[in-house]
Amino acid sequence: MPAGVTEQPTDFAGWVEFAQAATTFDPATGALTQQGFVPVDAGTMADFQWYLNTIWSLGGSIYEDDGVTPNFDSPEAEAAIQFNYDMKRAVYPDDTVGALPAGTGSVIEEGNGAVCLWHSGWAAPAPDSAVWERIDIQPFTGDPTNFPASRPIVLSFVDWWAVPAYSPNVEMAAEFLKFVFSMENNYRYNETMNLIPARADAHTGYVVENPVLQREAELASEYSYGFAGILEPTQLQSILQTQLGLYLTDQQDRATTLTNIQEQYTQVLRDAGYLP
Amino acid sequence: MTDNPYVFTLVSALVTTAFIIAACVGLGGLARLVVRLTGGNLRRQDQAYAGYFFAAPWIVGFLIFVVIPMLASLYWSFTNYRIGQPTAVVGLENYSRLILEDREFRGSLVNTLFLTLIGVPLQIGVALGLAVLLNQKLKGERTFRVTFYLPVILGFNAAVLLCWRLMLNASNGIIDQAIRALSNASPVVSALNRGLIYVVEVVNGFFLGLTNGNYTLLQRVLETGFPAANRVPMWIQTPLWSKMSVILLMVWICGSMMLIFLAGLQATPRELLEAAEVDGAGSWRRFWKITFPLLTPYVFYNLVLGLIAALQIFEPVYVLYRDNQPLAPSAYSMVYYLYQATFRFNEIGYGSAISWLILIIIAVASMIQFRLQSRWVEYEIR
Repeated sequence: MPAGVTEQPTDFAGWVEFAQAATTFDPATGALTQQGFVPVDAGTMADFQWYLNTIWSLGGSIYEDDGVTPNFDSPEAEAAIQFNYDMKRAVYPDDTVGALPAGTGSVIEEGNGAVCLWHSGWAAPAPDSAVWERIDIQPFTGDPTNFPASRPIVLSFVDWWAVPAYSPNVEMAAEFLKFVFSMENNYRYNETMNLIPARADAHTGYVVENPVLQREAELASEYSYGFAGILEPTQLQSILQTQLGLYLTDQQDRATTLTNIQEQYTQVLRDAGYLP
Repeated sequence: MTDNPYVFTLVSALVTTAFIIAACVGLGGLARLVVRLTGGNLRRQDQAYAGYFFAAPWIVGFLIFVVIPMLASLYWSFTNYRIGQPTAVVGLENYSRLILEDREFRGSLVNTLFLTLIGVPLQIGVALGLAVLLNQKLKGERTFRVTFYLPVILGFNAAVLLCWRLMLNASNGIIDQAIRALSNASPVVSALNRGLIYVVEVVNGFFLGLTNGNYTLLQRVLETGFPAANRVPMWIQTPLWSKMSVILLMVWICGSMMLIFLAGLQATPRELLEAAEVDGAGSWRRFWKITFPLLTPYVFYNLVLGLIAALQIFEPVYVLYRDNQPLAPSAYSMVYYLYQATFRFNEIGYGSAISWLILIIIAVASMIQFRLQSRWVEYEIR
């Protein structure tokens, strides 16, 4: 942690300052030796999940009130993408700076260079690793300074099972899903993968025996924002990753990026029949 | 069928074998019938039967796994076929959307042309250089030949490409570490390295600006000026280098081209070179005036195959940039875009249209090459 920092920043400006202060370089190689902030992609720092997380933390939504029309022309969407860019430039002031060395194990393990990892479930150390004693797990609090509707959120990547509409026996499939997601089965299913069950009443046993999982489960219960209910998610992911990549690598300006996201996603939903 | 998987496998194998035998007999019988109807004698009928009997497995396989899927793909390219949704014929809509509206396909086409126009000449140049070196009668020649051909054997499989991802890390990847070490050891190498970095970044910055209509990257490169002494290529980290990393891999795998050139060099009549040497021609002049013209058929062969391979490049782009989607638009090829449309978005109809358009592009490019060959390819000694 940078000297004097005892808790996580509470707004966007604080985060940018933190990322800058916590990032160090080796002049001999021109590459990072310590990276103040690492989203899923440490090199370009362009990640659609991180972007959506930021929108939601500001109290924003990716759809308008009708639940279908894309909302990427909102102030929250614009502020979120600008924040993602500012964080990128806080870590990589320009394109001559090399990324962290490739290492083994989690990027936040001792010696691998990351100071802050978004999110704790991605490429994180094993739950029993000693490095967790030095890690503070917190929800992301958005930017209450500029967006009063900001809220702390923890992004939940929910494994969701779907029944195709053309299934011959939809009712029986639904009953099967209810069986799979009973308390006991939800627990057993997640226990095999050391993940946190979606049901709060299944947060027992292995979940509470490990302090890391217990902390994550507590935060998920209180602040969880499910990564679900997204229309045409594969197409949206591709659009967002492409456009974010273009913006965060200075191939495109912010206005064009947001316009492209809005227009392309709207067209996707139109083609899929969600919009007229 | 049966519940026992072993019995099921055995039954499937027996059915397949029976099908192949039936196909052989059927095709052979059909050939015999055709020869009989066209007035062929018994001997010719027997010959036709035997020929088609033994060729039938390949013919049937070709029909089932190549011709029928191609025809199905051609049909789907005129539909809006998408898995899980009803299909309707849409005529030329997929093709018109590809050519007139789809910016991402145009981007992939431009990327592919970049890889082809820069990568293929580099491949040929390096392959020719290696072949010339191998043509010298040196100790360890066979070892060098195997070493330079090894990348072709390893190929673009996922394990090798994942190793390349590690090797291309700008911080501790072995490629940049070697460049760093050589630059630190020699001011000449350092200047060359920095000069090349500057040229590559300016060219790619300009190219990306053309593609995206935004020249910010180029501006930044020009504002930063001549690279600092500690600079190394940022192979898989920035869009300024993403295509160059793919080209590096294309050059790495030039072993097949090298062997073709080596065969050509070894087929060059020695008496021509000796006569030129007697007349006072230096080594460069002998190469340029005698050896290279005689190598042009081999250059043409490598050019045609290299062009086809470059226009279809997929694996390096997929493995280097698949989960690094932010850089993918600066590197993805037409075939990568085809994969994305077909297997990620399940737009089978649209993907089929992309594949047929790629075929047309490759066919046109090859036809142009064959048309132009008479201007520069020399098949005879004059």
